[in-house]
Amino acid sequence: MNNRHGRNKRLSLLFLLALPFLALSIGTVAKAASFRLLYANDNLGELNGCG
Amino acid sequence: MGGLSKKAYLIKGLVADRAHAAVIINSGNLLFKADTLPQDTLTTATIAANGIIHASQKMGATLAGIGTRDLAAGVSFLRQSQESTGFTWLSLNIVDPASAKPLFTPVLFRQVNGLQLAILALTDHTVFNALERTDDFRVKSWREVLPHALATVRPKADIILLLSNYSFVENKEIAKSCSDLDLILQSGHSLGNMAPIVINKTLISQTETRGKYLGVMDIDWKGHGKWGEGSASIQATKGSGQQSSYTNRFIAIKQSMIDEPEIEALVRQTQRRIDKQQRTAR
Repeated sequence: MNNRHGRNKRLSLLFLLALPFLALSIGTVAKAASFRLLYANDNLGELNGCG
Repeated sequence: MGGLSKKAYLIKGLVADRAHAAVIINSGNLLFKADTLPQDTLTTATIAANGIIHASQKMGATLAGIGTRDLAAGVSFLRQSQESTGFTWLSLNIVDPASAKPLFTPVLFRQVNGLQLAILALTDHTVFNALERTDDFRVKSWREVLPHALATVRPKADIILLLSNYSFVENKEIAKSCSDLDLILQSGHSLGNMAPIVINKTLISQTETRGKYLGVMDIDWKGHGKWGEGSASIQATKGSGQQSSYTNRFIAIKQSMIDEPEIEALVRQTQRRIDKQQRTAR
């Protein structure tokens, strides 16, 4: 009984110690998403430019 | 009618594609043909510039990098346009000569599909040293401002985009020395449509000049690091599924394209104002 209680306590302690590292690793996982860039440069004052 | 209204119709279709959240970027030299304007063309050039800013906003563009030519009508013209229209002019290195503080928005954050996108812009300082026209502003070298700005921005951003008015040679140097940068979109130093090139961890691209093309880059973002070309599914088959990837195309704005009616009306109105100004000036 005492043995099991001690093991549970050690496990809880281990979990508590690991929490900050878990939180850190979640924070550093890069976000993934897709998006579209519509871009242009050097319009140079053109109102009527065509390719 | 001309290119802006056709581009607007094209952008409307590309933005409506629900599979891709879109951001519209003008990376610099939006407004004027040259770094300096002859006095007799200044008024008509600023009428056209105001029309372009309004048309850009109606297309959904809210910002632009400042190229050297955007300053042809003076710093005050851009500052007034920002105040009156809410259109954001970006430059990290145009500063007040006395305080050395930026005169324009140095960095802008945008949420796109859950990602925090940081947008910065640099104006080519070498042109102004040659012009000696820096009485109401000073343009610092990128080396003086960019490393510090990136150190501040990196922890807050998922992806960092630089709108650079420097030459490709200089941008390669920037990409090599600033590993925090994810993307550079160039302006000035015309090279035509330049398909994206990876330097270090940075993708560099630009389009042809004079509104003739629109660049469309679809990005599958997996985090800061190496880039791969091709869609996410192609990357997965290559075994590179964990790196960010892109596909890019340049779409020509052709005469045969449909005009967007609201922008067409705005361009016609701008053209009428220019014609009227030219008649009264004669």
